[in-house]
Amino acid sequence: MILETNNLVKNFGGVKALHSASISVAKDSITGLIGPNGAGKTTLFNAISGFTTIDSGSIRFDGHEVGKLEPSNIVKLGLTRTFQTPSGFSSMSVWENIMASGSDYYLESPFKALSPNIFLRRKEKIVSKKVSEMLERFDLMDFIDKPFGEISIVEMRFVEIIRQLMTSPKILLMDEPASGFGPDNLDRLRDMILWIKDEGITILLIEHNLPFILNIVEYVYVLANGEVIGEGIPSEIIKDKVVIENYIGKQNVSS
Amino acid sequence: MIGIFVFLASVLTLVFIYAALATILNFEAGWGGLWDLGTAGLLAVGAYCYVILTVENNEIIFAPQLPVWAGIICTSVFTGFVAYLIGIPSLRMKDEYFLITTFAFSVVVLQLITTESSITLGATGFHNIKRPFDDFVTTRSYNFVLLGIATFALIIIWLFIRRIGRSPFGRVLRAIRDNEPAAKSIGKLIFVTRLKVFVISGVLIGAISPIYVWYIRSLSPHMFHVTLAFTVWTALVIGGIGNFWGPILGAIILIGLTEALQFLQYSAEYAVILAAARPVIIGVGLIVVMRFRPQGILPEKNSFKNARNFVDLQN
Repeated sequence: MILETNNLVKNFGGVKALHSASISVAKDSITGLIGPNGAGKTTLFNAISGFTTIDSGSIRFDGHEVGKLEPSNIVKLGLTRTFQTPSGFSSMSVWENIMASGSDYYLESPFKALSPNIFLRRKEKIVSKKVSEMLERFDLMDFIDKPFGEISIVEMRFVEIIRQLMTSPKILLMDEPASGFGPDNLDRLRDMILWIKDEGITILLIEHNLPFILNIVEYVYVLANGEVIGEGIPSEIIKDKVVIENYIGKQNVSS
Repeated sequence: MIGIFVFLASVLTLVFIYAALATILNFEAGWGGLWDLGTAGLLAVGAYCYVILTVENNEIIFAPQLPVWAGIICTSVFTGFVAYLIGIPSLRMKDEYFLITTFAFSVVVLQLITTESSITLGATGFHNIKRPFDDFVTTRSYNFVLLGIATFALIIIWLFIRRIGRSPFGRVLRAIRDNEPAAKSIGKLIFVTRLKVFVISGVLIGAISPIYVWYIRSLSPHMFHVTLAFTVWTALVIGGIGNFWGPILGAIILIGLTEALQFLQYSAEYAVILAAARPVIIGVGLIVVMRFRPQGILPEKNSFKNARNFVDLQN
């Protein structure tokens, strides 16, 4: 297990967003996380990635306890995430967006800025080559010089995923990557996810599009009211009574 | 005829000092996203530090009488250190709270300078401050010497800031400004990066503060009224926040225009009217720019349009 959460509790005032949530994600797998709105899926992501503090419980990632770490430190351990609303640096070009995540802390010192041009360019070129490769692979080369704020939401999502991949993660958490996608782009996204998996990166996925997610994941957790109410392989989970009552609804399954 | 040139040199010197301050603010606020109103405070710290370290005066309790170059270096280091001390508590706060804190810092500095007269000579301040190369030229032609120094300082600071702005460090700054959570999600350290920006700005403000002192030739607390920070901000906003040339253009327009009004001073009557007109001109200028060109005359977009070429053209 590369990622394990144990009895996570998070309260927002009187609201229990997470209520003893325990999931575990196997290495090199694609794991899904589904559940009705307000089930606590995004809160769980925020807790794992350090964007929300937790009230109690533990989060173990790759042999480290990350429950109390800052997001930037968690990223350095190899855990990264995307956001429900695609996020990026809107005034900067797509290229700059991805470069920002590809260049390292060492290169980003203000003193390095004063070192000879040749040195900086050589280092930047190595990163830039990787950026171009990625954009080429996912057919986004046309957008390389466009400001992030001026591309469509579908491209934003792809660029965001590429940007996060540039941090060389061991696991990628994706928060509703397919929302707002038509059939063509769903295929593109599926290919991308499968490619990421082939690169040896574990994936944890939140998604509302059930046909899409159940088709692609190997294991799925169902969250409701801040706790796990069901888990299993996709073909079993759609038959699970508790899950059906809580989330899917009877008509959807019978068809 | 010579008189006009002397006057022009003096106006340009002031323009360049403001341009340098606006360039530093551009680095901090334009790319770093720090809403800093403490420019006047840090400039005061730098100016007083420099004068106390170099002045030949026995009225104050501490006067090491350092040479000019040592004074400038010590001033830069000290101002940077003060920025560090201010930055640690205030940079943890968000936009408007940071603005209020730096504003408060400016006010506190002025108050301290006024009250601690054993070392600052209080409200009276220092007069007839010695300037480098003073003995070699007449007072009239000294304006040209000072213009040379100010031009040199502005060029160095501008090149330095441009270099940093285009470097990976500058890219991180803009990333943090644009979207803090996204920057965190790719492992950027928000607080540390901002602290670096703030300290670098402090060092640079310290480095040019002696030029301001030489320009005015005296030193008293009222020179560092908080309106100075507003003027620098206005110059930056008019010229174009985030653009490399914006602060320089803004300073030329704003300071050049208001100072040039002195040309029109035929009589004492006019002088009063014109003095009153200055804030009006600044205000109207700001409103017009905000209404028709909120990104400033030179928008940021053009500054990083060719960011990729910096890397790719080197094949």
